[in-house]
Amino acid sequence: MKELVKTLTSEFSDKEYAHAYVDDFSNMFIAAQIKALRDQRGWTQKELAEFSGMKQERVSALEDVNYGAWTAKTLKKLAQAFDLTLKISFEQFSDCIMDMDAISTESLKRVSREENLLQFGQNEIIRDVETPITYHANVVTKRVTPNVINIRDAVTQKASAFTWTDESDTPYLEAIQA
Amino acid sequence: MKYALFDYVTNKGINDFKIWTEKLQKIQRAKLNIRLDMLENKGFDLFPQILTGTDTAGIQKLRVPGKVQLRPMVCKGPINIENEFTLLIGAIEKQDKLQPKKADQIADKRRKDVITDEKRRTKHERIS
Repeated sequence: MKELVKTLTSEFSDKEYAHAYVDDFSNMFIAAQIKALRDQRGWTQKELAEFSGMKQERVSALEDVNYGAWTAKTLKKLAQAFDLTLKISFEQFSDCIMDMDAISTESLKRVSREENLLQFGQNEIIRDVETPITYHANVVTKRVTPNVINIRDAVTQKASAFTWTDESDTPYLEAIQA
Repeated sequence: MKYALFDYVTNKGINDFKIWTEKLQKIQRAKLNIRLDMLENKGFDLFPQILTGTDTAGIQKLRVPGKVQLRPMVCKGPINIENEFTLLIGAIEKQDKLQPKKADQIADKRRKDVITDEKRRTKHERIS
């Protein structure tokens, strides 16, 4: 795939070619993601059609990689049915090349709002706990005696055990001790 | 899963598929290449409708949308069925009819040529 990245980087110097290539990839991407999201939820096309207020035939067409006549309105309906948000943005060509490299059934999956927010909330709590450790670790790495081998162990020790080399470190020292 | 792509070559060593591709317009070549790239690098599980069957068993058409509906004929393998595709003949489809006529049958004959003689194909030559 890395070879393809190189090839496309070169080929995309031609504007007409680049747009035609990426336009078709966008259609394929959307079709594949609709299918991946439906499969992830264990829904039939008929069920997705019911949840999004469409006919089953329409869902079938939208999942066809050869279809390119979708609209933002239709995609918003699907986003609501999947309990996801639709993000439409203008992107650089290099981002598209990287998307091609990364695309897989797994990469297209998205969890619905409730599950996502639950995970997000938990991750935020973890991040809140880890941030000071990381911060202190940086301080330790930069400013503390080289005798410290394990940074995480060092963080759990009293900061006063270390040798500080700069008077301006006092606020950091006080922060860690607190 | 990654697949290897090959082009059929005639008994005179001519890469027919390459010549057909060179005659396409730039936009058509771009649309053909994205399909071939995804087939080569991602397989057809992710994009199942990229290949559809023909009236001839073992021969599939690669569906390339556009003003002109490109339908190059493809087969799995035929040497290594699991991880190869061979591009057998370039074709288009108008009103559900293939051009050249019986492209699927010509493709099948070519597929058999490759089975008989592996030298009747070469690594796919990309035309951009």
